[in-house]
Amino acid sequence: MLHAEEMCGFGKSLQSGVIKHTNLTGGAPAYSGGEMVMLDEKTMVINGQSGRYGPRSERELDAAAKAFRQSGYHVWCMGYDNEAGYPLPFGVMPRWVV
Amino acid sequence: MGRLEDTDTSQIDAKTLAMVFGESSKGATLEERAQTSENKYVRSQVQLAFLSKRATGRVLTAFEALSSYGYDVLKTVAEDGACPIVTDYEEPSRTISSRRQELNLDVDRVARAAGLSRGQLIKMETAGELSPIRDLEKVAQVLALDERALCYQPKARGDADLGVRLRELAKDWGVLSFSAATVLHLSEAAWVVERQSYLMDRLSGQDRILDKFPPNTRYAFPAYRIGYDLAAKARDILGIDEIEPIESLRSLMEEVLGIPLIQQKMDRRFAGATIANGKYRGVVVNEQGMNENVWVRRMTLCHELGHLLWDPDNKLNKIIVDSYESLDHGLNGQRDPVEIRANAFAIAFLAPPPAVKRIVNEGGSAQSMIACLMQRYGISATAAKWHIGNIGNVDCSGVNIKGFPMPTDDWVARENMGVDYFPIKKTPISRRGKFAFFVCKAVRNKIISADSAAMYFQTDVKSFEEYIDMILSLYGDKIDAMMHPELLDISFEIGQG
Repeated sequence: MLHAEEMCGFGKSLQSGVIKHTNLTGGAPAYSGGEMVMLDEKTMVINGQSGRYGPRSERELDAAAKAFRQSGYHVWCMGYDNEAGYPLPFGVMPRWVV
Repeated sequence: MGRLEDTDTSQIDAKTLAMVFGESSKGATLEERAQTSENKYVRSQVQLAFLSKRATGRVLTAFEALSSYGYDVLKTVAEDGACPIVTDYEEPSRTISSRRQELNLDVDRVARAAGLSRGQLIKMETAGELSPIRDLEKVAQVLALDERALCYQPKARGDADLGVRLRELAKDWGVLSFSAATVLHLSEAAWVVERQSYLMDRLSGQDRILDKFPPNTRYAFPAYRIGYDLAAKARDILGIDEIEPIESLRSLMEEVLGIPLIQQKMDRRFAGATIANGKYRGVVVNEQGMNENVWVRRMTLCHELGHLLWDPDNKLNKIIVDSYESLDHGLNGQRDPVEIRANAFAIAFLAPPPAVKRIVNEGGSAQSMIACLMQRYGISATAAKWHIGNIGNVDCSGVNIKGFPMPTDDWVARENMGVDYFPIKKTPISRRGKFAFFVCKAVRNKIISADSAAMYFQTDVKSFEEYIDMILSLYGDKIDAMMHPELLDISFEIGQG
């Protein structure tokens, strides 16, 4: 899994001031993209907010969340916003992934 | 919402503008760019995104999205595909809950008025919970909040003073006559006032004729005399001759003055109300009770017009609700100078004193003078009786008002607000009439989406699109003329109040 801090040194050097998922992939295909907050070493909150690589349905987001869970992490997932047709951002009640 | 987005685009590079509004958009301001944009957006409780086939939320035009959430949000959507618009974990639960309590309404009552269950409303009032955007919008409108600002701005641009006043009125009048249902009907009417005025502003882009009527602070004894003077002044401003009958007061208020006029079902003892929601004012007329007689309704409307045109904010105090009883007192039984002045304005605007004198000078019995005044100037028997007595010094005390002529069909037709002919039967009576015209016009001008219009009419997009032409044709040319006042023969030379 490729990851980077949104406001890392490289991100700050960009015009946008933050790193984008395409900076990690170089524009190449990827399975899924999103944001993650680590609450402790084993507990994370994730969402599917990615302009290019975001999951296109609840099912795709669930698959990504379960992949983290099956890797041994405790996972809170923000879920999918069917009304916006887009993954939910941080800021609402996340759900616990079992 | 103001014209905050009427911003010069010269500081933004062409590539960014094309990215945000699309290659085909044109114009020197963000508003013009948005209005020519083919982009469609969709919003949920928490975010705004580009419309996609999988999205089920509220569809917005680019103009609607820009005026509601601003350029930076649209730019983020263009860059990232979506942008969060919820500003606080406590929103919208805090705004909905506090507004409901401000109006002293219980959960069941508000839920029922919005067509939702108690559980759905409780969920909305719980921080962090998600609710369908369409349900949130219904509740916002019932509570006179701006549904577009819900989640995005604390208090959702609700007029706090109006909320407090509605609660106070319920206390003043007593729960039996000023029920929770009345509070809800008036708050929903306040939402219609705000939205109709907003759309009119957006469509016309010109100063409103109402701005030519400065508030008048004179109520000193005798208040009725000031009411008469203001009636004469209003006729002068509008270029109406001093004895000319007002053939259609509805038309004058809606089409010339651009006043939102809302028909609403209220308790049978109430005649009408004047409401200020934010910077906009409008009139509510009860469809029930004595207003069923068109001449009584004209008196009600004209009394409210007196409040709306001339009362300063501290006298209007956001809302004045008038009972039939208080209007029926004429100038003789009323003690409140604000009401005396509005009553005097109403009768003198509809039936100017010089015209009454002329009728009295023509001679005849008191009975025949009253009948003549009613038929010529379209006022009720009670009002005509008081007026002949007061202006003409004719003893009318022995005249029984029963048996006088009733309004003829031409009076009824001219004052009809057209709500009976509205083709979408699901639409509440308060949202038919001119409000509906402006909604349809706004869709044609890309100011709002068909989805938003359907929500205003409480129907689906398919039904709305089926009837848009018919709704536009119900009103037509006179409203178009109102949006271009240079076409009207009205003098704007006014003195100070």
